[in-house]
Amino acid sequence: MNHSVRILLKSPKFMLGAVLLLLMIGVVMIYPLINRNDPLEMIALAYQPPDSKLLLGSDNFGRDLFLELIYGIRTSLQVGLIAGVFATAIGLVIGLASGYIGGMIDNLLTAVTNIFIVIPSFVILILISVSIDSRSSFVTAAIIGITSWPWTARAVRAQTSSLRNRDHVNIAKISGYSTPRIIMYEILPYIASYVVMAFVLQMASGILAEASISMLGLGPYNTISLGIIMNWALVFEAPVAGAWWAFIPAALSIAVITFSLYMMNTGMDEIFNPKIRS
Amino acid sequence: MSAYGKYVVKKFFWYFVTLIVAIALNFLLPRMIEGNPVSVIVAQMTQGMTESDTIKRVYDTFAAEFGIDQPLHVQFFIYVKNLLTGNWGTSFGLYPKPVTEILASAIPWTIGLQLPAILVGWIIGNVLGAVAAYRKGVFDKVIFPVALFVNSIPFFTLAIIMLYAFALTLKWFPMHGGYDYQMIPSLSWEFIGSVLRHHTLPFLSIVLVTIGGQAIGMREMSIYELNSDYVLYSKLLGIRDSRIARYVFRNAMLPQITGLALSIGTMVGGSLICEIVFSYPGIGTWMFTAIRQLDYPLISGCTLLIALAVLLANFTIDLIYGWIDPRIKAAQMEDQ
Amino acid sequence: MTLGKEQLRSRVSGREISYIPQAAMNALNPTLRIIRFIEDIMKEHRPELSRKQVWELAVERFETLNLSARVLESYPNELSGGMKQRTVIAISTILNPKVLIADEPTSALDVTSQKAVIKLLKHLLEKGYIQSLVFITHELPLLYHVTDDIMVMYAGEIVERGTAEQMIFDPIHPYTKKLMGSIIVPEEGMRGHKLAAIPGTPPNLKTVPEGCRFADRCTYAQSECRQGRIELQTFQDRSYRCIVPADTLREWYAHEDE
Repeated sequence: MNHSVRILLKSPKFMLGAVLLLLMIGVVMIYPLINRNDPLEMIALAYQPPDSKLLLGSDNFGRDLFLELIYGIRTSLQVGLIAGVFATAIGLVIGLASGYIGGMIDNLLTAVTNIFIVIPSFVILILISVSIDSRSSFVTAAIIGITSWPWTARAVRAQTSSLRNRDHVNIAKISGYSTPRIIMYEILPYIASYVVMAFVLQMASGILAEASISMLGLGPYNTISLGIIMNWALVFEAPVAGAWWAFIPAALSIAVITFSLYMMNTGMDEIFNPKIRS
Repeated sequence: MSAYGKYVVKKFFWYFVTLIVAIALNFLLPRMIEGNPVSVIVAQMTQGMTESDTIKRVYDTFAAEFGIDQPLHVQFFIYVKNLLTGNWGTSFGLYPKPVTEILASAIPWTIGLQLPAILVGWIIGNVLGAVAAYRKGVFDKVIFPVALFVNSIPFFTLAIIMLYAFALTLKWFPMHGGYDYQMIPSLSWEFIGSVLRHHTLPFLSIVLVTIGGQAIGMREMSIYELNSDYVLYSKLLGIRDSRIARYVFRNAMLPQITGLALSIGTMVGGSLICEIVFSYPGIGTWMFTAIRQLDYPLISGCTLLIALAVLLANFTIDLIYGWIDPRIKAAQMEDQ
Repeated sequence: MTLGKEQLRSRVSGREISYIPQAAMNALNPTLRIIRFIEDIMKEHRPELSRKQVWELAVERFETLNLSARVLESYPNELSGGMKQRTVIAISTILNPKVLIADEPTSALDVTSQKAVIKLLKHLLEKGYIQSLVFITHELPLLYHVTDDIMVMYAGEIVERGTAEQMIFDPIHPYTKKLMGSIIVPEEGMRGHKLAAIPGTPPNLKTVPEGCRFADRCTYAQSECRQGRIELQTFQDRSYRCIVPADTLREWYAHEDE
């Protein structure tokens, strides 16, 4: 494992992504300690352009957009993280069960996975979000996770079922090891890199999903996320008011977060799948 | 039956099952709202309405539509029967307009926007990805990071940026809608021109993001194919590079077709939100309105329609794929 | 004679020198019918032929190699492994190349299939479809039955060259000598015979040592072995890369065998 980490540190793509992400996490953790104001406090007139005091101007309600952005990035990262954990955990369990047990259970789980890959996840996301009245950002993240596991499940299943009949697994079986132990020591180490990559991708798509659903007005309540900032900008017609600072920074922040995650994923992919190295 | 025929039947069966699951989810999930859905709905929609007569009428309409006093499975059959007979419910927001009528007016706009945009983006993206993999060097160094960055920009983000740059600041294109509202839809050149001008920005924002994602996938597939044994063998038999490039392109393209099938759901979702940014009169904008007004029948109509469209697109792509990839036919033959 | 890359491609590759890849299973483009691939080869080297002529030529050639014309209309994954192997050999030799390079064509095959491949290659030589064959392999006993001459390489360099007979029964270079020691002849007393492994590992080709590349593992190495470049020596009709004279080496071997 340490060996893999050391190789990763040499990948410029992975490092670029990781440094960007860590930098952003650092800023959103530290800035609220320096500026202790409430991001929802109205401190200026509506749509004030950026100046030395309000770094990114004010929004429709006269709130400090820079502070809102910091909190927005924080929420979005949290949502992405939680959604990624949920999606990866569910996908891992279903993929492992399907690939390792095989037979009827495999057929059944594969069929379910395929069905949920085809049905667009954001449709389910909308239907669930509409049905739940008070959504915290955790609930939103959990819903996103629950609707986006099939990709991970499919990848894990493919890997597991090819590992299942390898010699080292058979030896472990003959030696009488329990199934959880075999999965833990003979299967998981081999698919760990895929799972980590899948998690990074799930996190990115979780952040995108949160932004999309918040744009639609189905985002979490009582919080600020990047999608919610854009939803406000759209609902209160910031583009018409020419207030680019109300939506462009939030839009770019999402792009930078997902970009850094994709970069990390690509860096890892090139290291763990040597076949696609150019 | 021919191998391909079997393939089609098998695919059809699976998509039919998926369709039933999609309809069932569309039926069940909104019914998980606490309490009697109809009274919740009616309570929400009649806020502000004082005439008890109206409330009663609205309530009766919905009670009849949902079959609310029946057990759940009977409700489901009523629901499916209604769907099949074209009765998708009545909109709250635009009462008493049927949901199907609203959707029918929106479908041409959405299809006219998304189908060409996704196809054009897909084709350009694949060509660029293949070129990046094949030419390597500067080309790859430029195309790849740019594509990766564009791909990380969510559809609606790019849409907002384009709206700001080209509609608001430069005033090259209009900001809202599908055509000039002063105009009456007709088949005149003037009207078509107006439609095209309104079409450009949403179209371009979908195309650009699609290019990004597809170029990345195609680059990866092409590199994989370029390293395969048949490339070396063909080279050593003296086949010219341009022809080998064609082999590689074709083989890398095939998984991209499946890739399109699998990502079309996400693409459609992104494009729908893109519509909202431009207030384009398609399904996405209607869904935005419906969510703001808690117009449940319309929301559920939109989600069902989107699910159906994505399933149909997937099925079509699967059929095409099975037709052009010889490996599928061979796999079917083995099954026999 | 030097040729540009393009000239090399159009005049030599596939036409003068042809090639059978190591993993014939993956050597064919999975989405191209066999005949389409042959047509593509012909377009490069025999553009004057019409599609019909190409078809007739291919059918004829495939039939002499016991492959039915149906194979031509198939996609690679519709063929069995052995069929693919034979198809690749047929395609590689369809232009009657002067030299055919077979890169481990028998590795990963069972003995029966190995025999079939060898027979096929010999058949090609007898028919005159190919004039000469370079057979790359690790399976030494096979070589003796296939080739006239054997060339032994070590760490990217030719270390010895001679007829099959000479190389197997009278090797000169210390590496060849050790290599031939690894051949197992199923005869009486073999059971008690211990096979000698060469100690050490081949050098990393990124940083080859100066002098003889085999020196580190050679029992006869002297300090001169590690200096400068060791050139190929000629001895009668054969050549070897060692600074020790052939006769001395032979004496040492004779002494050792006692």
